[in-house]
Amino acid sequence: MGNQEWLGEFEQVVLLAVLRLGTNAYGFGVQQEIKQQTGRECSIGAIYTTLDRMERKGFVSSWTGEPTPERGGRAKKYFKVEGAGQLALRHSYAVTTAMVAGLEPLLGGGQ
Amino acid sequence: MKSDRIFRRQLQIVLALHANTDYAVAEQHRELSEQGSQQEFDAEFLASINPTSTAVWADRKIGVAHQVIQSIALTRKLIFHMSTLMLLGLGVRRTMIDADQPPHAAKFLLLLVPLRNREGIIGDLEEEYRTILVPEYGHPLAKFYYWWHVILTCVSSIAGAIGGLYRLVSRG
Repeated sequence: MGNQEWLGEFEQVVLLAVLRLGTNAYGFGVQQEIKQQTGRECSIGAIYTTLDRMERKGFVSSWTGEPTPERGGRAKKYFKVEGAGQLALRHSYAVTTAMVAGLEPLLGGGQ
Repeated sequence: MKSDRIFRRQLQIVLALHANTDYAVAEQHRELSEQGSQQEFDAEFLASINPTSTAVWADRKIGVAHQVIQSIALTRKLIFHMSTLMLLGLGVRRTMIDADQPPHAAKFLLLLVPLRNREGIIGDLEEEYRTILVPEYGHPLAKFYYWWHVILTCVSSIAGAIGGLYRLVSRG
């Protein structure tokens, strides 16, 4: 765990949204998924900045999709979580689980 | 704002057309009365030669002239009304097209966004405008929200670029 790159809270949320959307993960879709699942409003710019940063780290990859009329003929930029991104997410999840262990009664979870 | 300006301009054109039509009709009436008096004079002259046929002939000529001028005036009025309807129709259509489009000026701000993401961001914002903002808030508020989201996007992109530059410099 020591050499693992730490994910920020927003990075985790964005990565999880990309994972949930699968092959249909693009900026607007990610924004709507985050809003739907967490109720959190975030700008498309913030999502792109985060995804851009994670792409440089090798956590996600992107490709340009097809243009659609509701986008004024602009092409979509799709994202996909790579192996390194999944590893980083697993690491974050493990850290959170380890830290939460024993605190279930306080946090309202567990048995 | 833009559609208001176009509508005002169209209204000015229509009023100008209307004024010109009235002026032209008045001119023709004046010419007709002048021609009429000339015809009467000629008719009097001819009546002295052949009193029965010349008076009838002169009346007919004046009647035909009247009908021609009236038909010209009617045609002009018809053209005027048709052009008015066409201009109004175009104005309404233009307003509808403009309303579907996000504000063009806001797109210039997006030139601040890095080129590699620009296409995707502009498309996403446009999709958000059409599928979420307009149905939920209506056109005026949707335009306001679009501007707001464009500003937020630019701020995020600039902050991201500054952060990247800082990390680059701090690593040496």
